[in-house]
Amino acid sequence: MDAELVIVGAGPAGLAAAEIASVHGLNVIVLDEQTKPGGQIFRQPPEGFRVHSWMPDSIYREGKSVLASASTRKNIRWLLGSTVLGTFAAGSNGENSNRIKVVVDTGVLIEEIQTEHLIFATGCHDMAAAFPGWNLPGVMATGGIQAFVKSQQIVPGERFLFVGTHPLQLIVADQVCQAGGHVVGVVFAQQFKRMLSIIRNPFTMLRFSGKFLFLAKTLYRLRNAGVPVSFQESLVRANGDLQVSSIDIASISLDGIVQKNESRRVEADRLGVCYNFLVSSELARQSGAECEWSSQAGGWIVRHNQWMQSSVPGISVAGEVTGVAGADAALEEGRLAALGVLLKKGVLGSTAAARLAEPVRRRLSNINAFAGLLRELSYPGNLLNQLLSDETNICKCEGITAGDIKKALAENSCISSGSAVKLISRTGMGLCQGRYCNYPLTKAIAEYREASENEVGPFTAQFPVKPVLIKKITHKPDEPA
Amino acid sequence: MRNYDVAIIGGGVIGCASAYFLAKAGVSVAIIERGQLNAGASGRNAGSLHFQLEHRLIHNETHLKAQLPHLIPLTLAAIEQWNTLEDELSCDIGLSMSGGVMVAETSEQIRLLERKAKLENRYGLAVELLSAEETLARAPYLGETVQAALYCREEGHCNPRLLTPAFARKAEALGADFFTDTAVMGLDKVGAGWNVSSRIRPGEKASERLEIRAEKVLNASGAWAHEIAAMANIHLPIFPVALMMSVTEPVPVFLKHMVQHVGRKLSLKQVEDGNLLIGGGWSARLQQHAGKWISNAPAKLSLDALKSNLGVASEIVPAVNQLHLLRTWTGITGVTADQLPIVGQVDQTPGFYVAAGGSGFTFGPLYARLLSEEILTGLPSEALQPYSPARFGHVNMYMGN
Ligand SMILES: Cc1cc2nc3c(=O)[nH]c(=O)nc-3n(C[C@H](O)[C@H](O)[C@H](O)COP(=O)(O)OP(=O)(O)OC[C@H]3O[C@@H](n4cnc5c(N)ncnc54)[C@H](O)[C@@H]3O)c2cc1C
Ligand SMILES: Cc1cc2nc3c(=O)[nH]c(=O)nc-3n(C[C@H](O)[C@H](O)[C@H](O)COP(=O)(O)OP(=O)(O)OC[C@H]3O[C@@H](n4cnc5c(N)ncnc54)[C@H](O)[C@@H]3O)c2cc1C
Repeated sequence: MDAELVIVGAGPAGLAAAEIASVHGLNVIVLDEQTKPGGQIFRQPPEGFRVHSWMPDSIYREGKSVLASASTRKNIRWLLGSTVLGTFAAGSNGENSNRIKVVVDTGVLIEEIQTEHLIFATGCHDMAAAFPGWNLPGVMATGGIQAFVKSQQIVPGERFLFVGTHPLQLIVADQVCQAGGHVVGVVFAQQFKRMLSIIRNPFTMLRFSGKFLFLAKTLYRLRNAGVPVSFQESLVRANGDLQVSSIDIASISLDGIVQKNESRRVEADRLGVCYNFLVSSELARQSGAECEWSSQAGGWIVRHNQWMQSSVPGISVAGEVTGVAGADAALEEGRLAALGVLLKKGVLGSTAAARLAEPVRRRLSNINAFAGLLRELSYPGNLLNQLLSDETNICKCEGITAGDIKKALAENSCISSGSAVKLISRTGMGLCQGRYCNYPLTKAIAEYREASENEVGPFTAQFPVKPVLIKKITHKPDEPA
Repeated sequence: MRNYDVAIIGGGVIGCASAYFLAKAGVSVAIIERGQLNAGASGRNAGSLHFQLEHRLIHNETHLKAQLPHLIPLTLAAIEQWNTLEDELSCDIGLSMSGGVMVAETSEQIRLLERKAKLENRYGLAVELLSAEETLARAPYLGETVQAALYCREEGHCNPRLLTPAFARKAEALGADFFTDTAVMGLDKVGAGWNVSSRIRPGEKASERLEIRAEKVLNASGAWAHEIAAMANIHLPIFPVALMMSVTEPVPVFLKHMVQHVGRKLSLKQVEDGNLLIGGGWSARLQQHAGKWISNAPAKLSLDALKSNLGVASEIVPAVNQLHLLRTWTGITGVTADQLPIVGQVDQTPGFYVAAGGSGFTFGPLYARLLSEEILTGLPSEALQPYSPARFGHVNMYMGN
């Protein structure tokens, strides 16, 4: 199989790229491990479970129209339910080939797709904050709760508490309420004053009024529904035997210290946690793309030029993988990446490409200004460090605690890179391939060794980026699957 | 300028183990490693303790016969050392010596095992040829194509994640100095000793280099040993070979041996955490630019080699097919034309020692111990004689005056 352009990820970024590229006549393959296009934000209800207006708010309108338009294009081939495991240089000698082999797990078999142009629009995932009790059933990522509500419109669990720093908490709490769930509280770590001080700036307010209005409306609806929304508080631990039953919440002093000894207890059987998002850059990294660290924008974000091209020839990136900035930014970056491919293929000349890119860049820079504010506003700083105790698992898969990491660093004075700590401690060697622990581990090493995160470096991303049944690899083409 | 008795170049198992043995003898040592410790072949290998002669050593029987009288005594010494290594290092190194099987699937392969068994037993390495039934009784996880196996009781595996750091910690406690993320750029013979010049960070000024003065230099830079040797005007006939490894999800223990194949490239074992490690010498691809290998770049996985490697593994141990592949990786190891390591002093450059090549995980600790003795006493080690760099003297190795 081959295609002129392969796009991994059918979220806003991938869809916008696919739309533009296909309008200009390219044959495009769009891959996503989900069974429906839409990505995180437009996560669609499953077949046979269609609900009216599953994403009612105007903020999603543009994305929905891109999705609708891409879905009708004849020269886009959709390979859904397909996980991309990695890429290889095609040909016997990598240096002399400009073709890329994309290896895909289609569910039953492994397929290879060849292309000269690839866009990774693989998005982001929730950051799993580690704190005492985070392993208890009932503790979920707020985004996970949202995905549940969005796609099935049912409410998992009874009493919801949301804790974190990210405004997404408001949106999800609201969605849970509207779906008939009982929200017992939304807890923000920030000071209300500080949030206001950013928003109150009249210039900011004017520029982003639509978004703030959306959040303000959500807050208002929640308050009206009797949901307490508090500020300057943090969780301390989740309690329960088989399932979370209560959560200890403590206030945060003005100098940012969680007052763990003066906690209050909130009864809830679902705890949604949302401090930040982490970019899903493992596929880009497996392909050799250079990354750089950003604590606020989601960890190891992929470097790119003004046409969204990564350091690897033929591979571009778009959307959250370049730094978490939300759906609107993802749409624009997808468009830019597609224009970049069209330029490189010679479908568009440089003047035409620049002309088409100009309004996209203008919108993007505006969106990025807001995204920057949002990131600053929601960045938890060193709060999460305070929640860790030595017994808390940093790597859930392998059961490696924060204390184990400290011990490894103390005993092995020469070891200072992320990959070396992974090797000696097994952190990140489990099924999730370090998707969750690479972030806190990078920060922990940087702090311990007084080095920068870029000096620590990411885990080396290896093939396959997600586990795959060996039978699918050893299967010979002439045998039945 | 810092002064040391010995400067060791390379922080793999050979470098770190040598540092330990030397520091234990009271010698002052510096280890210089261009990356992180254990980031080369020593932290990426399969961890097999190969005591039977391996697949790659036995396809040429004449060669085999000539080598056996040397190899087996060393193997016996290595077994003895491995038996006490955990105590010596006083920590867990994931060591398991619960036996290894080398399987055969054809009558020709069985004949090869028979001849191999005879020779190995004659020179003192106890191996046992098992029939198909005996093999299955002892290793019920093997597939039905397996016709026979050669069993070696002492074989097994050790965890490459843990061995080298354990040596490094011991060496450091005994006073060895480690310089990591520091690349040796130049070697200069001055008087009776060596000036070793290293780069601490890319693009630095000459004044920022690490300058070390050492009586003796040990080149333990693995697949890159020829580059370090070149700095001392020596052609070292060792070249980099890239290999791949795979690891599966963890499952409850069902496979207690180290499994190899006499006619196909395979090594397979289950580590203490429950994962299966699959390897056997399948190639990866060294990166090149303008017709030259890029020395420092990681090797790239080859999809075809991965398919083949997993194919052999799942034919020999059918349960493999039902497991998830978790991860693959590649490593670069140094190989010589005769597959044997190069260990010893280079005659033309007194004070310049090398230890590289061979199954360096199995034998690295032993080479390190024997070579450290040689460095300390100045007397060539009898046991290492067949591996001396002198065997390549005929290719005009030395280019100095
Ligand atoms: C749980 C969650 C909830 C969110 N909710 C909101 C919200 O309510 N409002 C908001 O504005 N923003 C929300 N966001 C932010 C969201 O990331 C962006 O709004 C937007 O969806 C980003 O678009 P994208 O195209 O970059 O990535 P995504 O929409 O995340 O799309 C990436 C796609 O790539 C696919 N993919 C990744 N790796 C592979 C692979 N190896 N093989 C095949 N497919 C792969 C994924 O399945 C996914 O569909 C949420 C994020 C998360 C993680
Ligand atoms: C995939 C794979 C599987 C293997 N399986 C087995 C097995 O099962 N059993 C077995 O016995 N053997 C096995 N081997 C071989 C074994 O791993 C090696 O022989 C052994 O690790 C070599 O150790 P070393 O210390 O010489 O080299 P290395 O561990 O490679 O160390 C050499 C070090 O020198 C450093 N260096 C290079 N140039 C410079 C410079 N200019 N300045 C400073 N430092 C420098 C490198 O960065 C490197 O860290 C395998 C090898 C590979 C790659």
